[in-house]
Amino acid sequence: MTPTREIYWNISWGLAVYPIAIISIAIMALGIYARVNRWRAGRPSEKPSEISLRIWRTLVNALGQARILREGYAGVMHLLIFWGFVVLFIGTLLVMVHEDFHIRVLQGNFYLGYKLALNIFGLGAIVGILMAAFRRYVIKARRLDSDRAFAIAIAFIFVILVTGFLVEGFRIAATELTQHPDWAPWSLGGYGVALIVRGIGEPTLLTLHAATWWFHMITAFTFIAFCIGWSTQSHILLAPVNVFLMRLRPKGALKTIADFKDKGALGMGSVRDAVWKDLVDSDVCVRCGRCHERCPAASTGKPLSPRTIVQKIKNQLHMETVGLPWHSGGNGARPQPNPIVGQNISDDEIWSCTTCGACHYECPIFVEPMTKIVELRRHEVMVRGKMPETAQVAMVSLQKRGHPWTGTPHMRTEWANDLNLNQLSKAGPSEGRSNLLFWVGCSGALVDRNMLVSQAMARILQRAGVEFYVLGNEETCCGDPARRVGNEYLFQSLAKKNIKILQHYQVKTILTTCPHCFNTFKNEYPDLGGVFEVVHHTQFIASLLAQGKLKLDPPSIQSLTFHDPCYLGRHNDVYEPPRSVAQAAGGSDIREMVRSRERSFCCGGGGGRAWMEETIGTRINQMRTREALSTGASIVGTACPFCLQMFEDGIKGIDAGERIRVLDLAELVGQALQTTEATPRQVTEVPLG
Amino acid sequence: MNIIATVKQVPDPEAPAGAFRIGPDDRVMVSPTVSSVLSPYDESAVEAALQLRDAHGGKVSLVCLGTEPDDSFLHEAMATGADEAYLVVDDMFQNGDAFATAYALSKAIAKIGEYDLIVCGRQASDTDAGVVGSVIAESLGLPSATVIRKIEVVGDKLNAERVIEDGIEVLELPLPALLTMTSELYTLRYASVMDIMSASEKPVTIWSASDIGADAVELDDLANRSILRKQFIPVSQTQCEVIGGDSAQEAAANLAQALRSRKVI
Repeated sequence: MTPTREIYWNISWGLAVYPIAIISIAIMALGIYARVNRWRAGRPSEKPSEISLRIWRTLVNALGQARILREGYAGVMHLLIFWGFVVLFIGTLLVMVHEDFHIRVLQGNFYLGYKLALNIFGLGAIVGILMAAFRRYVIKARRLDSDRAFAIAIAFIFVILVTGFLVEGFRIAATELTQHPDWAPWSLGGYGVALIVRGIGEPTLLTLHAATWWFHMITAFTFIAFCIGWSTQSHILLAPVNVFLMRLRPKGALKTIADFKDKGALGMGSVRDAVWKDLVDSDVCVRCGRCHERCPAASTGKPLSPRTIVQKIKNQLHMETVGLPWHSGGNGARPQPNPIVGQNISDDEIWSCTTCGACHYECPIFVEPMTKIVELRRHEVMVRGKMPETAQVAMVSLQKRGHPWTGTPHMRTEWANDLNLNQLSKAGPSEGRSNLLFWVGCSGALVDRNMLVSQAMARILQRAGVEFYVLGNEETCCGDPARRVGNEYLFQSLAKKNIKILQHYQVKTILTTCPHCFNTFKNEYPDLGGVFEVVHHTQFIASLLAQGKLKLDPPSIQSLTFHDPCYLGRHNDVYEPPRSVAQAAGGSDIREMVRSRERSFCCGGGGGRAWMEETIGTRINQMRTREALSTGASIVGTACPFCLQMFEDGIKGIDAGERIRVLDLAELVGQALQTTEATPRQVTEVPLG
Repeated sequence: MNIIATVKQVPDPEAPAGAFRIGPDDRVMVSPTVSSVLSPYDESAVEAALQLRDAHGGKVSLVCLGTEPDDSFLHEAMATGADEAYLVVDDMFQNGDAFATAYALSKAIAKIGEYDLIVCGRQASDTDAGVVGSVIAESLGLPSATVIRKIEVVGDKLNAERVIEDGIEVLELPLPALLTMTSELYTLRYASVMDIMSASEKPVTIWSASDIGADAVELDDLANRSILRKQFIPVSQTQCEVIGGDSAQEAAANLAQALRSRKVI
């Protein structure tokens, strides 16, 4: 006889499953509809483009669980539950196809394979849900923030899975075990249950089977109606939607404001100012806490947690918008939107962010807490004119002087006094000659410590025989600090001015030692019409080395650890060039810090933080300096002016000057150049500690 | 209440010393890389005016003596909230001294007519003379006080906190009056983008000498009695000496000793 089974065996009124399903799905759909309705309170955002790429990424991240699986325990746990759900859901659909569509699929070897598959995935899901309960309630993983909704969901899933096996076990005990004993073992779990309950007599088995069947069915549909429709488990449906809607602009680029006359577009003052994608983002967050765990502010005792920011926006969305039409309080009025910052979210929360982007990298469903923080800052700065005092000093300086370093005793050209560099103002627009511009940056030109890096870089270029130019006094800030502090207006005015100058001189390639300038030129200027080829100095030096244009001394033996600047690594995926430069100049003993590359831990200087006081909690730069120290390396190499300043301060702050010093990779290469041939001038010594 | 704030555009006082040069005639300062900014004490005067207006109503008018009929600087200055601005430009006032400036400004203020209070910076950060405010008060016959850090208006009087060497004097003045402001308590607010956008539509009235009834003979009689002969940048020499010690404490003690022996502390 062909293996199969009788559907609705031992069940009368089995078709009641359909009306119950319809009611359950309707309740669920209403819940989802209410969510979508709330999102519509936001401002319109662009229509998603590049559909095939979006579908691919959704598949990779939903079916493939790509980001979830970056973590071992939590990744495997979620994978088991997710795939258990998928396979059991398909299995249930096949029952419908078989019985009610009269397409007899559940027979023969397919039926046996079906049993096996559902049992493997079902058992996997039980393991997964037990792992989840263990993690949440026994280990109490620190980053989790539990409430009743999670307990209810875990309990529901566990009960549904277990009763599923019981139903199968009772049925097998009463049928297959005696009638077709060779089919039964294919149901691993159900067979196991059957072996245990076989002795309790057929009448009892039949009663238990019918009761459990109904219980299982009702529980499953209750879960669908309420947990998926109205609670955290809605992420089953909504997370893939958010992944599909992800922002496809370059990771390091913030959104460009097109119309400054539109007050609502000047950042997020209330939930009504948010674009609906930001509301979707906040609403689908499941509070897994990956962002919280990796956030430099949250890790050092600041009041900011990216998860909390997103959750607070979500709460406010639910307080101040109407999900279902009849929830409007009877008179049809929508609740008035309240300001977000000042009431719900504190100043210290939004100003603690370094915009390092760790939260964006970590989120398995592509929620973007950092861009929301910038939107909140935008409203504070551009609409209310409010920001921390020291940040305001930097912004005013950008406005007045085109650089954020108020009080610098230097002019933009001083660092190069002895270097005899070509200035574009003298050379004029490129006509056939090299159009490589060395963009020095405000720190590189105006801050003593960073000037050493600019000097080293210029010497490297000269030694390699590269024809290059500088802008000298015509250079102004690229605009990164203004943009990240939230003054988009100032950013655009600086950027447009720069683009005009760069286009006037027909600059084609911009070389910069600052990852912030690099990111801004590369990822943000194109939106404003400035398209240039942009190279970071570590990339440039790496290619000079590869082409044999730079000859370095054999590296003196020193152990080195490289700190990935956020705006070079995480925001722009440049990881290898700095490492190859470090190896060529510093030797083979390169030691990675515990947190490196994509998971590099911010120095604390991004997002305008370089100009703000750090008065709450541990200093981020000191925490990072300790990490560098723990590698045992004697040098921490970096490739960003802010990282350099932050490490200098961090090393001084924890009195570690005798154990470690910080160098930009250009300085490291500059030192290795020294003895290759006699250099005309003394290489500036880098101060210890 | 209607408040008038006098404002001056000066070379950025935060610019590095190396950015300044003296022109070949030894008189004119040449600083092509230095941007022009609102004089810092004037910023405090404007902020004080804005706070009083916000509390008591009325309007804030800016008055400026300029060298060119370019009103963009005043539009920028109004972004923080001033309601209107007046720019006096005339060859008659070119290269004038503090008395010439005060003469032009007081004529302009008299023409504006209605005001309850005039606020000026205690001194401009380029010339540091600190004369203009008091001379305006004299020529308009107003009660005045200098170096004020805080203003409170009560009815038709004001209380002003005046900074003196060892403390604060609290003065009471009848309105209208003129005060010159220090920067301790008033930091100019940050302009919101909406304010910046709307500032370009606020009115700037440009007046010539004849518009304000200035008279060359009168000016000559009052002002320009001092003549600038020469400006120069002092040559400073830096000598670096490292003062060490076996421990941080010892180094600090040595440093203190070295400073004391040079009578620095």
